[in-house]
Amino acid sequence: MLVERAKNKISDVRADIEREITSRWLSDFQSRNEWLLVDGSLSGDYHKYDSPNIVGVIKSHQTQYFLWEDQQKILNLKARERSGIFIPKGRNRPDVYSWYLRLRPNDGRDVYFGLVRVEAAKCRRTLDMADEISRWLLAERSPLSMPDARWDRLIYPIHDCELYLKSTAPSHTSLDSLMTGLIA
Amino acid sequence: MEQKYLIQVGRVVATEAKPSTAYSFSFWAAEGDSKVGIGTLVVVKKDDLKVYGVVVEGFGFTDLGSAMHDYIGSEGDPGSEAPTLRHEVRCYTAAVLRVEPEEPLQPVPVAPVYLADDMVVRNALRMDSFWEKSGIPIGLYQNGDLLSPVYLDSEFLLGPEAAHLNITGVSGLATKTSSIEFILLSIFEHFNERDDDGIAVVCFNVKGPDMLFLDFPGSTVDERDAEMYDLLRIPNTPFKNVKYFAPFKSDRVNLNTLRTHPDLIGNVTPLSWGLIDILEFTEVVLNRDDVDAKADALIAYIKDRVVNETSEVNGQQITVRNFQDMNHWFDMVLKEMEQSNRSEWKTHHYATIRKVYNRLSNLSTRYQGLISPDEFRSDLPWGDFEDRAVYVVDVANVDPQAQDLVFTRIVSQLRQRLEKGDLGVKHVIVVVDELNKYAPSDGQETYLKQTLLDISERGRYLGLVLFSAQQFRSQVHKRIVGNSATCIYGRMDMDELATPGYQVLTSATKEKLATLSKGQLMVRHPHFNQPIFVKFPRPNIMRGPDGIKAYPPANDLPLEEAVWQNLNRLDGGVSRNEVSDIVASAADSSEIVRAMNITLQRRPDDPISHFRNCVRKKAGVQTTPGSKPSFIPVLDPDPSDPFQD
Repeated sequence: MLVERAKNKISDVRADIEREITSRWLSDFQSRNEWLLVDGSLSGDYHKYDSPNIVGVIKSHQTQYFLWEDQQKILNLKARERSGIFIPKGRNRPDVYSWYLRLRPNDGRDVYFGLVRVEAAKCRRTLDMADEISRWLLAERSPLSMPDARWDRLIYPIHDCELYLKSTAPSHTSLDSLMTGLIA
Repeated sequence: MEQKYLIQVGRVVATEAKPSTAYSFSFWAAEGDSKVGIGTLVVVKKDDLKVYGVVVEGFGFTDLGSAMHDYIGSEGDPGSEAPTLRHEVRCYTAAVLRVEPEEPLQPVPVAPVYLADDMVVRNALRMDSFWEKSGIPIGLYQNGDLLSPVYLDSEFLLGPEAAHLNITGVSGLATKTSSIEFILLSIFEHFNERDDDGIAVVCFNVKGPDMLFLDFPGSTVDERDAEMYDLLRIPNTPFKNVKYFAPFKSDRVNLNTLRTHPDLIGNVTPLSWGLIDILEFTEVVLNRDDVDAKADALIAYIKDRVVNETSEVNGQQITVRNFQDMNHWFDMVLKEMEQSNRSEWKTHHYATIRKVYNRLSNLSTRYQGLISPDEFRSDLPWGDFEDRAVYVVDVANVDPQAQDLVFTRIVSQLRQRLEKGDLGVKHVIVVVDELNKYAPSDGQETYLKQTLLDISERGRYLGLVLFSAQQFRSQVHKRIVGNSATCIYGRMDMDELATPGYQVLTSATKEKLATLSKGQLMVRHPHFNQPIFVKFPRPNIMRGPDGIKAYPPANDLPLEEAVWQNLNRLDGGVSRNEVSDIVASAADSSEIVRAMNITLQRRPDDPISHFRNCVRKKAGVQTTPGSKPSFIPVLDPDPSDPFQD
């Protein structure tokens, strides 16, 4: 119970930080021709900008946005193919445009292998740039993010970023010893 | 304060799989233009602790788990370039050279790693304790753009603490000869001994013209080399005082060397030894099977009672000073035995006397050119060795047995003289190339090998130091290379590096050794815990092949021409006719050779008169048909006898 609460707390704090960083980045760098890639759904105040340079890549597919017939089309996407653009519903946040993209062929593998969902701001430019953004993501398939188990959907820059964050995090041994100290 | 000027290049890493120890540590280095490589000297600093190390191994890797992953990532297209590059880390393993303070000796801490500067190089290699007092620059350690002099301790190079130097390297890359020449120049410049000590070098030139132009400047010293000379404080010049020695060819007129160009021959002294010189080396020049106990006893008798003594045989007085006298002495002894019908003479059996007579009298024939049958002797200037002089003995064209004799006698003389302190200098460096040939690890025992072993094992107490070189260290007698306190390695063959003698080196060091460029060396010295890579400038000395091109050897001269040219060098006014008359008046050509050599050696004010006086004339007796001329030997005339006609 305590562990579960701690996990939720950490998750909330992390979401807050992500939101804050996104907002700060948009405020500082939006004017430049640079893009921010977000691991997961978009957050922050992207809706305040006309055409914010921000893209989110979602690797997990717990929410099914379509009925079976349409969903089947998505699951049958071939490598380098994308779905049409849609507006995902059900989240308490400003609307975004989204589409599915198959990064790698899933022949003989499960239906979600290599499948990611892309989110970008709800604006005209996103409609124009969906193919281009998809190509950017396809280009980032290399290098491979092995040995991560999600290597089929995890693009290397995110893997690289995770590697950095992990290197700065205290080890389990250090955390255990800290926790022991706190309890004592 | 010091740390401010050092460039940080990395940080120590210690993992469970690869922990730091007291003797080695790993560190990662910065990406990009890192100055770190195999052989780089670094220092780890933490508070007051300094750990000096030398990089012995390097490895780089990324987070790529398998080549397959890269293949899949590139979709099998080797030309595809990923927009995001994997991180690449370069890690290095360094062997600890020195720790300050030395106690307690602990594993190297996780701390910043800095590139070595001049001061750090000095401390890391423990040169701080000796470089001012007894340092001999061996080359420059390169750290990026920084060049730091590396010193050897003369007390460990030239004795008495340790001694000898051995150089290994493949042929044709100017490693062995060039590095020896450079080190000798450095020693001559930096060896600090008391004024009355002095140091000289005896080089045995064993192949071609390698060491025959040591006193001529080369043409290959560029700006970079000149800068290196400045940093090492060594004059960029050839040797100033070089004396050359070579035996005669079998005609005993022309010298058996390639340095016979008319402009250079004046500096080549004949190496010609007489009976007295070689009698104590009979075991070298005679077949061991011949010198049994009986023969040995007779030779000892001749040495003690006959040579340089006046003895009476068969009622006649005889003084033996050379091979001709000795032959006559044997004739007289045998004649006495035959006349008196005795089988023994002074306890020596007739057969033993015949055998020793046969073997000794043949020496001047077997070693024609080196052993003189008459009283002419010419040798190294024993007792008058000059400080900072190089004595080159050219034995390149001499047969192996004669080389044995030359090496053995010269080294034996050096040892005896150094022991007595009457050589003229207190330290002598003997330079021998091609140890693979002269002191192989297998093969038969030779006196030369024994001599080299003797120098390497006992020389340092006497100031007799061996600088040796070879292509394959693994194939040289272990005790010779083992006794060399300082070892230098140039570019090596991979086959040689695979032999057990190189197991102590890491694979990276071996690979670096196999790809060393000209002018790069790896040095091992008692003060250095680990081998160190250095650069040395090309010596400003004419290479043998260039010397031969600039000063082509002269053709062998006929006797009369040789006499005229040689005497003319002493006195420009000698006329050809005068020489021709004297040559015509001589009993035989050996008389002319003897008289010429004696004249050249004594260098009189009036060479032609001296030459004339030295020549024994034809008897001038008209032979009577049918009557047997009687033969009366004329013994050892004194050329300076004023009453001689």
